[in-house]
Amino acid sequence: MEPAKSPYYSDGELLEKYRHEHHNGWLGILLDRYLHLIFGVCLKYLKNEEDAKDAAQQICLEVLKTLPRHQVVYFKSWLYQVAKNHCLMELRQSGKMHLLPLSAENEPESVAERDKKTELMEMEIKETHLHQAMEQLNDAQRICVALFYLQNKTYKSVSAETGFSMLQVKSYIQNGKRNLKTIIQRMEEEEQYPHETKKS
Amino acid sequence: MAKSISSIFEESGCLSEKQLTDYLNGRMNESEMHSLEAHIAGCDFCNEALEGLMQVENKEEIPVIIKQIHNQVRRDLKAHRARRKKVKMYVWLSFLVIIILIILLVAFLAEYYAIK
Ligand SMILES: [Zn+2]
Repeated sequence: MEPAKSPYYSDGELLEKYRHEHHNGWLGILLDRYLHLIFGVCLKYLKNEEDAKDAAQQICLEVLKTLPRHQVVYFKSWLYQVAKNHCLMELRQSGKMHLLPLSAENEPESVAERDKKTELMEMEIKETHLHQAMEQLNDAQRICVALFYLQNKTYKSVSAETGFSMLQVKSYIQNGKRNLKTIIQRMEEEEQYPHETKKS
Repeated sequence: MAKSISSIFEESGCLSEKQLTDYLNGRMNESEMHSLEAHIAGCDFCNEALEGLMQVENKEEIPVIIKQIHNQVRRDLKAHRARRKKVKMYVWLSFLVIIILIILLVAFLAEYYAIK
């Protein structure tokens, strides 16, 4: 079947078709799905519309060249990593690395690591663990997470209610969620291997 | 009103271009805003994309820019395919030339020994 006239396929199905039929049209559909996200990420790092447009195009070319050589399972997370690494490389080459805040987040990350994270996200979580973990968050994170997830508020109303700025609210929720995940993982590991964790 | 807290780790699909531009242009109601924000709290790709797209001065222009990149990428994909076809043709041509050379060589040798 011609890619252009196809019904809706998942990323995995498109990837599979691309591998079997060697037809760039399938990859075109996949890239179209994420083009706006690629451009957005480029803009975040490069801070200039024209540079971001060029970079987005180059990233697509890079995908076209490197995808056949990689065993990609989660196309989306792989693509994000390719895009981010491309931008970091470009900043490094042009000596503009100082535009970035220093953090581990801004180091290129391997795809294996990323896949591991995706896997962890899919695990099932016990409700009791979640409540215990909530108590371990700091006040700002706990309040924002609770208002946002339990009362379905928007960032804007959480910000109005707490007095934090929108950006603060956003990062408290993101970090709160990330911390919750780590705390819960630790709890589950301790439950599974109680002796090993006691020793260390 | 209070829902189960385990919805924190529920995953939803990535944001469409329309969702992102609607959000940035303030064309969403509270519950749409909430579900978009819940997604970006767990998705680095969409979160960073949103941060980037915020920097576009005229937000209504975002779809136009994406369309331009789309057209360019389509051209790249076509060119890449055409190049692969060209490579195949060269392989085939050189194969043909070698065959002709071998036939000529055999003919020449046959003639040579026949005269002898
Ligand atoms: Zn996403």
